[in-house]
Amino acid sequence: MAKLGDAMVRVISPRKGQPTLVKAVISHPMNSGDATDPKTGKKIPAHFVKKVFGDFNGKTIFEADWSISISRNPYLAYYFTPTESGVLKMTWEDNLGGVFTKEANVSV
Amino acid sequence: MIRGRYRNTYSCTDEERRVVLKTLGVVIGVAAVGTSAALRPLNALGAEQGHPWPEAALDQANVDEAIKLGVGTMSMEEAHVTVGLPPVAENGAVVPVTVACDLNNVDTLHIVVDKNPEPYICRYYVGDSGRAEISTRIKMGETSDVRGIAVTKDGKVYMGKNNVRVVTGGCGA
Repeated sequence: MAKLGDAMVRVISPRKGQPTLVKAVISHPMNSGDATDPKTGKKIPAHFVKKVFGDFNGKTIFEADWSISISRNPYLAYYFTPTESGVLKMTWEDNLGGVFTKEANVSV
Repeated sequence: MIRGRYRNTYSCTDEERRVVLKTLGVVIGVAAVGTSAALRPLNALGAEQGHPWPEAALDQANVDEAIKLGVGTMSMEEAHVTVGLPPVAENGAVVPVTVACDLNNVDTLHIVVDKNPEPYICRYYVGDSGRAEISTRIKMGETSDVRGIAVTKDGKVYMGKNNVRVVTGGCGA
């Protein structure tokens, strides 16, 4: 069972100067705050990822604003264009102050 | 370990070994936690970097208001943007969606689900990407149009839409 913040980042066939696909998924409940726990009858507090960043060799190349409407264990695919080899670092920030990161090597 | 004159008469008891191993275990554990992804306090703006999170747009229940707040305008041309969806979504809690724009100067991509309780779903800053295409999985409450909106760097707004039939809604409790 994956724990909160466990993430996977895959860079698909990177080529220098070409838009390269990145797939990422993270374990996160993405609780909206509307759902009720059937056992206690209380509302499950909102706990969801708000911001996603992709940094390549220290420069931000991707950013996303997310909401409660993104599915649990959120999946994301996007493109970036590497001009050199390096490290792609993804960061997920949630509404309760949780910050999760995952890195992937990129060789072009 | 005892050295010197007492070496032959005294050796580590089991109790002492247990204490040493436990201490070592705690030290290694603390070091491991310290280096793994740990909670960091956010700065005064609520984010460590990047654009402000569009709280007003995301909370908005009315589609047109949500688009005005999230995208900036209601006037958009229905062109250049495709929205990929499965024909039927068995589980509205997990609907895969792909938004793609074929222009090469796109700044942001937005997803709007008309019939969701909060229609403005998310925003992506793809200005530096080289290809304005994103995929994700969203929650949908019921059968609805899903709109993909692209805003270019010179302020032009384009829209594409698609529809998906949702069998079991994924927004509620």
